[in-house]
Parts: sequence; structure tokens; C-alpha cells
Amino acid sequence: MKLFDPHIHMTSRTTDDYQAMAAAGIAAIVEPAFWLGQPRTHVGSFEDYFGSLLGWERFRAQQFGIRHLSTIGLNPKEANNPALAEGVLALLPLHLEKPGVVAVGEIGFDDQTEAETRVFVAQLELARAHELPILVHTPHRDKKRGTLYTLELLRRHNFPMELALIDHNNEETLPHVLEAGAWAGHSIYPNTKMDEGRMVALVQKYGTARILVNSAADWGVSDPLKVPKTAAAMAAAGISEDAIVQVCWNNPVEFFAQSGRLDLATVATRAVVDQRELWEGNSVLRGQAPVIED
Amino acid sequence: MPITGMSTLLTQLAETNAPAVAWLRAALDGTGFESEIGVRTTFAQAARKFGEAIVASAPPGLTATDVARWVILLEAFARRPTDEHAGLALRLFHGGELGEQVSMLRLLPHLPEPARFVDLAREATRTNVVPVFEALACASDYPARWLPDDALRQLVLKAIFLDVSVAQIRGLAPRVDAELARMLEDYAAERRAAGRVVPGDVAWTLALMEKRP
Ligand SMILES: [Zn+2]
Repeated sequence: MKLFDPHIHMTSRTTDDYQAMAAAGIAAIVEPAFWLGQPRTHVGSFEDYFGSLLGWERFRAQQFGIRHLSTIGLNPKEANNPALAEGVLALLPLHLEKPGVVAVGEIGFDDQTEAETRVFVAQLELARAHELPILVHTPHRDKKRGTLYTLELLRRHNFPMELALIDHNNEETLPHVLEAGAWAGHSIYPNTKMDEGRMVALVQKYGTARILVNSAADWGVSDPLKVPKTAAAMAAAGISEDAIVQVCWNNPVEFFAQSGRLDLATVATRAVVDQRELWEGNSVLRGQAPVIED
Repeated sequence: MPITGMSTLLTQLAETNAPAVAWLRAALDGTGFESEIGVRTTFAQAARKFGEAIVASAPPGLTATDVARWVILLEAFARRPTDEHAGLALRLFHGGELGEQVSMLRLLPHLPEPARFVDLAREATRTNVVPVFEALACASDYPARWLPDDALRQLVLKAIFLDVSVAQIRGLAPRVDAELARMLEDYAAERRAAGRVVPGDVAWTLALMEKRP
């Protein structure tokens, strides 16, 4: 089964992770721009970070047959540094036009400050201007209120709900997100956020429409194999293969395809095959036959 | 290949993708293109508009996106003093995602006075991103024609490290020199000392030198 991890921070992971992910069936990933564990203090650090997501990291993923897509945005934590935020917002229009960018994200709330609101709303307008969906991080502290406030802002600014993926949901927030008409992401974590067993129960209760799972793996305690592990837990609980494919492949493809920048035929093929096409496109004949996996 | 005029290039592109060419003409005429950020944005957007189709009448190996970016570069150059061209190209390369970097390197031999872009090419000799390296090393004869000796030697060694066939570096034979031969022999000795296989391209490249008159 082909799997999609729609939220994973690969810049913090090793090639061992890529290898294990590919072996477990992960064929496509979305890497949202986020913070790096320690606040950045220079706008240029963001420019280089965005560049590495769209260059080096995409190549690293390709080497393991994994298609790498990105979301670009200013995260809520660093939105609280006003001088920095202004400079990063000014960088976004260029970077949102780059190939491989399929949403504005991750944006949203951390402390739920006024500065965070200002930066969030500014990025809603950018998403509209660049015709992109948004990937929204919900806060870990005071989560339910933060999620409701996010939905309220989307309504107030007439942002189309079907273009919003609200992430890091739990039992308390999921019904509100679904009811609003947005897509709901779930970050399956070793200790916090959501686990496989609870996720199985949510799919049993709410079905598969607009529901996604991800590992949100980064530089903290996290597990880049949580999507395949959740798929296995769903299968073990008797959830049908169609339903698992819906949650772990079709839904993320359908959501990000709204960017108009995700070629559905291409995303269905493995990145390794794509690399061979690149060589042919180059009219470059390599000394050896390209590796093509079946 | 002589520098093709911009109007000829646009006509060629319009044969396959008229809406994209209409978009490009509007972008180049727009006020946004006056600024460097506008040039960078148009350069980035071209991929989504033009795609990967090969343009029959363009130099071999250039996609429609590459040709569109060629037009964008020529237009940006035309609006700036000559001594700013290399700097602009370098900033576009640094700020480019993978596909933009590949386009820029494929275009180097087709830009006016290609020797001006040697600093940019030198950067690409150091990359670990194989498609970017190949766009410099294999897509044209730019390295053999324009890279200084030291950079070309590094390119050959880097090709061997990245497992990119040296045979693809066009026009290399006359430029293989004694210093490159020494570097290759040292590398072979290092591999043998470590009990590792010496890549076949080492002997292949050394043979180029021996075959020379
Ligand atoms: Zn995240």
C-alpha cells in the first residue's frame, strides 16, 4: 500500500529514516516550514531554510523514491518577533510561487497573541492571492479555544473551509473542524498529541471524509513511521483497505491537489522513476542503466 | 549556437503553448518585472506555466521552461548594466529551488559572454545534488570550454564521487592535464590503501591523457 505523510519535518531526520519510510510504503510527503526548536533572529535564516526545503531536502527524498512537497509560511512561535515577522512575510510572495509548494503553512497559533493573529490573517490573504490552501497548526496549550478561534477567523475572513487543513486534532477538536467543513489532520506521536489506538477509534466514529493522519516527526521525540503504523492499526481493527487508502493516501492527495500544483499522474508514480525521466529529458545518457523499482 | 533573438524564441514557444507565452509577455511588460524580486518571481513561476516539454527548435536538452527562463534572463539583462549580469544570475541561482538551479546551469553556455558566469558554475561543481551537478557537467560543453583548470579538475573528481559518468563531460579529453592525472592517481592509491574498489572512471579518464598526441 502506498502511503502519504502530509506533515513531517525531514530536515531534522536522517537518511536511515528515509530508508525506513520508503520500505514501509511512504511514497509522498509534505514538509511544512516550521521553527527549528530554537528561535531564528535573522530574516536571511528563513530564506536559506525555505531554499533548503525546496532544494537539498527534495533531492534527499528523491534518492529514496519519495516525492517531497513543501508548504511555506511563517510559524506562530516566530510570529511573535515583530521585526523578524515583517521581514519573513515580505519573503513569502516569492517563495509561495516556487515549484513544489502546495500550501501556505504551517501557520496558526501557539500562545494565541495579537501578533500571532496579525500574522495569521496576513497569511490568509497571501493564500488567497497565490491561490493556495493552508496548513494550520493548532496550539498545544489551550488547544480547544485556539482551534475554535482559528475556525472563527477563517469564517470572519471568508476563507473557504475546504482549502483549510487544521492539524494536530484530538477527540475534543475534531468534531468542530469537521462540522466547519475544513479538513482535519492528526499527528500520531509516541507520547503526546494522538496515538494509533485513539486514531482507530476516531475513524470508526467519524468515518474517513476529510480526515488525515501524519507523523509530524521533527527534532523532538517523534516517529517518522507513524503513518504506516496507524495504517496497520486500522487494518488490525478491521477497518477496510479502501478506508485506509482514503485516509492515508487519497485525502492528502485530494487536499493538496487543490493547489493546482500537484500533478496527480506524477504523484502516483514513484520519485525514482521520475529521476529516470529527468535524465531522459536532459538527453543525458548515463554509463549505467537507471534504477527503476517496481 | 548564436544567441537567438528573443522574438524568435517566443515564437517557437508559442507554437506549443500559446497561453504560457501570453502570460510571459504580460509578465515581462508588467511593472513587477522592473524589480529584482519581480525577475526572481517570474523565473520561479515559469516552470508551472511551461512544463517539461522539449522545444524542437531550441538547443538540445532545453525544456520549454528552460527556454522561457532564457527569455526572462535576456530581458532582465537588457534592462541592466552589463557589469550587473553575473551578480543577478548568481543570486537567481542561490535563491532558486532545484528546478531553477538546473535551468540556470543548462542555460549558461547560451548566455551572452558565458565566461562571466564561471563563479556560478564553480559553485555547481561543489553541489551534492546530482541533477544540479549533471545540469552543469553533462548538459553542455560549458565546463570544458569555460571552467579554469583547477575548477575543471574538481568537477571531474566530483563526478567520480557522485557516480556521474565522466564520459558525459563533453570536450574533456584535450583538457585532461598532468595535475588531474596526479589527483586521480592519488585517489586511486587512497582507495587501494583502504581496500576499496577504484571506480572504473579513474582509469578511463587517465586513458584520455595517454591517448593524447
Ligand atoms: Zn509541524
